[in-house]
Amino acid sequence: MSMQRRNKLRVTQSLLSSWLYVFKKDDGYESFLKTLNREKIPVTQAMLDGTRYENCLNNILKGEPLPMDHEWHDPLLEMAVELQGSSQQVVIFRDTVVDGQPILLHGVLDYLREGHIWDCKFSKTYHLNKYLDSPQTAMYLSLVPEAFDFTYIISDGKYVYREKYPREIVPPIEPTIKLFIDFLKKHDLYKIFEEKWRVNN
Amino acid sequence: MAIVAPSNMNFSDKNIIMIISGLPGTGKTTLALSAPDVLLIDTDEGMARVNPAHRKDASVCKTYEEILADIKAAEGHYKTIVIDTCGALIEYMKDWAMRTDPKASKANGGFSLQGYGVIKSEFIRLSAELRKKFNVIYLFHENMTKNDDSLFYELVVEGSTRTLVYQPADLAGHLFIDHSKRYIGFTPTEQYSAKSAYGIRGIIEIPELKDGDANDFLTKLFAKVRKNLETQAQTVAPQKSQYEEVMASVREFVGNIEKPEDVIPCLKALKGLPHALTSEKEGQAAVKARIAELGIVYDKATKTYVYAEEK
Repeated sequence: MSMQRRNKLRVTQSLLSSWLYVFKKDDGYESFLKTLNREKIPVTQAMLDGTRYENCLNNILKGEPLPMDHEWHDPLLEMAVELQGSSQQVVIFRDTVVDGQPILLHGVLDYLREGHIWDCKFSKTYHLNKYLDSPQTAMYLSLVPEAFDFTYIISDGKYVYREKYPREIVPPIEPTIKLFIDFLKKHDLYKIFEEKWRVNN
Repeated sequence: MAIVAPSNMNFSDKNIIMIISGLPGTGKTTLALSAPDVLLIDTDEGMARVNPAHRKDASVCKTYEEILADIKAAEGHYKTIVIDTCGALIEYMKDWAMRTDPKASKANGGFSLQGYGVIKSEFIRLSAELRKKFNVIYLFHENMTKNDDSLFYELVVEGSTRTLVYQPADLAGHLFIDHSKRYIGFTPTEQYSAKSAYGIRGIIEIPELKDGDANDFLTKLFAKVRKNLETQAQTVAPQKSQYEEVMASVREFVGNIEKPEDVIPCLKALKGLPHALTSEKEGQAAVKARIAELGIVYDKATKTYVYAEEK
């Protein structure tokens, strides 16, 4: 194994999102420490609903019929039409370097087709520009440099909403990772990052 | 049906839906009137505040049904419908829903939760219908709200419809005045909602209108949108056609995987394709899905693909 690979650290959008919650939520720091330490996060009802919605959508995209009386019939149908023919659950890695530190960007795209990326969200409390400051946008556009745009396709169970981010309005992810690393160093957490997020882990 | 290749696509008659929002007095109505051949649906007496030199035809209605009738009558005579303001339009829709749909009224006479469902559906229907015949500009007043230490400019419209009204819009701009100059921001920020598309982004200064100047900012902007769409289509067309060809080969190669020995030749064949757009990543994902379906896994020790149960 090369020295560079041994030193390479993995960064995911979930890790960065968890870090950004430190500044937004009262319990954000404790929650971030759990993510940084790769502890299992308790599954919430919202997460279960999201998984169930996405499973329904993926089954329809694979050709399963959508019953007329399905509780989410209309939004599922609208999304299925838009996402037809896309590749699902596309795992992507990309190397980058931040402040001299080799980083492996890692993400799983919900849907990819013809230069467009979609991420499916199920949110009963969706509001306009909910994902404006999500690091997922910049992270996924960095993972797929040939993509034109990234769209959050969201349902609240009744309607479908979209937040579309063209590449030209999204800054690169590296400056965010730099701030993240600076934060870890300032709070004596960098060693945990090195230990828990090394690529061979 | 008419199938058109991307290289032959013509966007010269594409209709645009746009949201313009701003604090009172920022000049939303005057800006909206700079779109091509406007009919203003004036539910907010906005025309009264416009310099007479820039006024256009307006429809003043008392009910939602009258608005629909005037829009119908405008077909073929106007290119752009301006709804001034969309917040007031939603109020008209609420009144219409309560009169025409029993679900929309509560027993005590108030507006019901189901009523919001009725107007949401009607708003989506109206936008889709309008787009077929006109450019559409929805004007919104804004409120300044304080969130922690930062200010946010929020659309003045019923809370639950705020999110929905953005959906059909191609573009959304926040209009503001800074040091006596007017600007419109198309890139969303933490201070305001906006929507960027077709190469229209960031903050654009709106030239000051002097006596005798043509009020044509949005006419030029819409022309730019159509030009950008055409350029984009022409640039991407060769890549799209190559992508289609490559993806046909990808499907064929991946479909040929039946057993573990087929995987490596397939991966080699995929690597040799002249990839375009995201075809390479989609090809890799297709292989991964196919081998998972067949119960095939990669064996690191032998560096070969094997059936999972053999590992």
